[in-house]
Amino acid sequence: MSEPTILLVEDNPDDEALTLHAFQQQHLANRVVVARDGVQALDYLFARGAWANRDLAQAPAVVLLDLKLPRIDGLEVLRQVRAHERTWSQPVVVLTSSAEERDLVESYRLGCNSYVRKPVDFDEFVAAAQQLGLYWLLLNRRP
Amino acid sequence: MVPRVVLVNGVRAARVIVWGVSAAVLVLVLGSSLLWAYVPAEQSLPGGWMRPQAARVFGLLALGLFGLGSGLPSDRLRRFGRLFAWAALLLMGAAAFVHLGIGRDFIATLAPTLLLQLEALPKVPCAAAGSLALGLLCLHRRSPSAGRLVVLFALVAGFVGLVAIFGHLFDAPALYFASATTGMAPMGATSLLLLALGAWCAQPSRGAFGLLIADDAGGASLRHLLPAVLVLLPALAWLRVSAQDADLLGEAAANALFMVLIIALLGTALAVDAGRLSRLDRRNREAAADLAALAGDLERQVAARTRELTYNADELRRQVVERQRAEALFRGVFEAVPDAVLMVGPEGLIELANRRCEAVLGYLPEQLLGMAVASLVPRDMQDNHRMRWQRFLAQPTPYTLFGEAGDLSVVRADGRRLPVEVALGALPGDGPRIIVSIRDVEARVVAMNKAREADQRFRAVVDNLPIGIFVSDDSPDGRLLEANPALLRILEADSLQQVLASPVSAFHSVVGERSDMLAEAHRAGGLSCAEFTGTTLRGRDFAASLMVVPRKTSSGVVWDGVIEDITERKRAEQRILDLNAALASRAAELESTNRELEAFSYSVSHDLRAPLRAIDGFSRIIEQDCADRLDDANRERLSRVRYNAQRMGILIDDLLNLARVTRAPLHRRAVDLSALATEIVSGLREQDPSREVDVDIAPQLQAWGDGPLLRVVLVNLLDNAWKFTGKTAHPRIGFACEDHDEEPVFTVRDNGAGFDMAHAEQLFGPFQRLHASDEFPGTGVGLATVQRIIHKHGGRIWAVAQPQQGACFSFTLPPEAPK
Repeated sequence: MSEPTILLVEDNPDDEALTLHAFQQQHLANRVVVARDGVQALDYLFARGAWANRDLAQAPAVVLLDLKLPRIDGLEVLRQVRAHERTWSQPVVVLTSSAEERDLVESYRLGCNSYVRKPVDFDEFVAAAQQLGLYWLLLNRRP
Repeated sequence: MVPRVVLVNGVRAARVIVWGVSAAVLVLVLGSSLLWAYVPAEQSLPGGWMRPQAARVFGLLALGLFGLGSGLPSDRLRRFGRLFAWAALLLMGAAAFVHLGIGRDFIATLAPTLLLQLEALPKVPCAAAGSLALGLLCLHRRSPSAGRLVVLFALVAGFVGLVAIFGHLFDAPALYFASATTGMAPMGATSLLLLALGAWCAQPSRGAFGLLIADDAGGASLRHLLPAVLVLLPALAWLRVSAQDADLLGEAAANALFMVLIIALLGTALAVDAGRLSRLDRRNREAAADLAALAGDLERQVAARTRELTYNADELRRQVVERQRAEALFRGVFEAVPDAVLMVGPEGLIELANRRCEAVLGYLPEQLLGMAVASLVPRDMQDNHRMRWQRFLAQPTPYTLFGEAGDLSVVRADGRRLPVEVALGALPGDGPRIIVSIRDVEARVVAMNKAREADQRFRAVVDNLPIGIFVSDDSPDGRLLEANPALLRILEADSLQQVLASPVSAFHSVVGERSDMLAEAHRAGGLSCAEFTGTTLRGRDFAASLMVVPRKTSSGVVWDGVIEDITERKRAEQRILDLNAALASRAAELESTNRELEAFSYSVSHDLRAPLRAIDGFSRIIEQDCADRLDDANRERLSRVRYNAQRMGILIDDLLNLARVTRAPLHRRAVDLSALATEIVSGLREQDPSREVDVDIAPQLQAWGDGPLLRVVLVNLLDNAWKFTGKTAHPRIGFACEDHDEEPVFTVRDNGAGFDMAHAEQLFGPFQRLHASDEFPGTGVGLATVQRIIHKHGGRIWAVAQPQQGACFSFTLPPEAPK
């Protein structure tokens, strides 16, 4: 059994690069799968389209989900993940620039496991990403 | 036992009593004259008229009869009479004892001193005199049995006297009890008879003597026949004896003739009396028959009269009842009417007053009696009253009303003037009587005055109002019946006549509109705010608003209406409509702007930070990865890039906060500011553990507001205080509450850098900073946010400071609004 992955759903290549950089320092970068919009994220999670051959039993340890995405936005992705019987228990951490109250409330309403605002200070960002990786990959247990 | 009724004639009885007394007096005179003649001589009487002893006895009896029989009601006289009667009785008793031989010697020794020779008294006359004395004593008793005894004893004495008299007349000594020494002298016998008759006469209504004086036929017969018996028979006897003595007749013939004469004379007397009785009887019978007839007649008359009387009595009773009913009716009406009613005589004086007078006039009805009706009239109305009164008296009518217009008053007992209505009415009968009915119309007069005042007030309002008020008729073309000055102005009329003369249809700009509107008003029962274009009398068009309501009057329906010239209002309305339209489009613009702004701030939140993050992130990576290739100057430049990117991030966050404060609605509740401040300060201490700041937070500071927003306020103020005391030797921060004019004022005070009050106005503007950012970092948005939150709560915020002396930020929050 291969090691669990982290699905990073992020449309901004800068943020993607920085996030990956943060994980690299933890030597977790090789486990990160990147989806650049909501459709790709759902294809991966439900093993469809480009990811049709993926083993469904290998669910990611955590999905780091940006909210503002092309095609299908983050909240819709979260809704579908929680609606499906196979993925309902999938840990999803919303990782976003938004400090808007309504985004926070809506995300929790749809059942996100955590809501993390991306800090501008890169040091803080690295610290947050590392904590997330450690927690969800190593500490967390799933049903 | 029914006492025998004797019809005693009173006059006759009185006369009889006088006879009795006269007999007594006569005997007294006789006896005393005899005594006077003989006693001095002390000798026996020759031939014997009366012996002195007998004279004394008869004197005593006469005195007794005089005292007892006089009939006088004098008790002394009666006692005197009784005394003498007893004396006579004792004397006779003593004589009886002498005759019987008992105590003769004793009496004989006593008698001479009394000049009595008792043995000389004959036995029989002595007993007769004794019985007479007893009879006299019985007179003293007034009982019937005593009366009978008087008659009995007098009868005995009288009989003895009569026998003795006749003995002397016919010269028969045996009959006058003659013996050697004794015998009854003629005068003695006469005296005895007289006294016996006198005793009888003394009580005329008793016994057989009563018949003699009775007023009936028996009494009359007795009085007729008795003289015949007493006079004729002795006379005849005397004639016979005389004739025999003169030898004119033989004894047998004399006897026979005597008998014949007796028969003839007595028969004649009887026949005469019987005839008289018979006539009397016949008369009586006739009288009885007449009486019976009269009685029958009388009975019939009585019956008829009774019937008449009964009828009259019934009639009278009916009349009385009727009269009582009429009187009760009168009284009832008199007292039941709601007015004070007076009956006044021709002199103007009150003769009758009902109970209502007390309520209306204040006088009790009794007080009014006799008062002049004019005294109820106020002084200033006296002339008027006199004139009306005289006119009414000259021509009385059953009903005349005065004071209908409320112009009449009376003066009440308490002096108050009371407006009244007075009705006068004349009563038929002797002497004019006037009924004055006074009605209290104060309430009506007050109401009338009020109504008049109200009417005037309404008239003034109607005349004063700037809207046209009118009354129009119901005709197709329409005529105005009334119009107020405002309507004249609206229609540009010169006079009311001008308006009233024009048809209403002429005031409508559109021909036929008036009839359409009238039909609509009929259908809907009036018009409300009906708008049309009117035309003035000068031909100018104007916009009009009309309201009419129908009113039914005796002459048909009229329309009360209000008309208003709304030309100006129409214009204004159009302006308002235009403005509204402009406003609506502006509002739509604003809304879209708002939406855009919201989208903008949302995208700022998302998209503006991402590049900053990239700048900072890649700078950091370069810093790390190329550390050995970078000189100090470039490392410093890279650090500045990062610092600015981070500052930009904070600025964006602050701006978003400010925008959020403006948008978010308030959720007020009780907030413990002390606890909040304590928590914030401990956060600050954690962040910056190297600093030692003396923080004094007053306990239990409570406020009413939105908790998260008040937290933003305190975070900013305390953060500032923390920051600006960074270069002070002994930094102090205080959070407290002071009352200014009963309004709590919260203060955050520090002894930090402070600022120049010259710049205080800029303090709360966004992006306004009073210190260089390298001296005290900050975005200049915090205080703007604080002010916005305080203003949003309805409070005030201000600051007092001096450079290097610290600053004091004060703010108020309105208390909880009472529910």
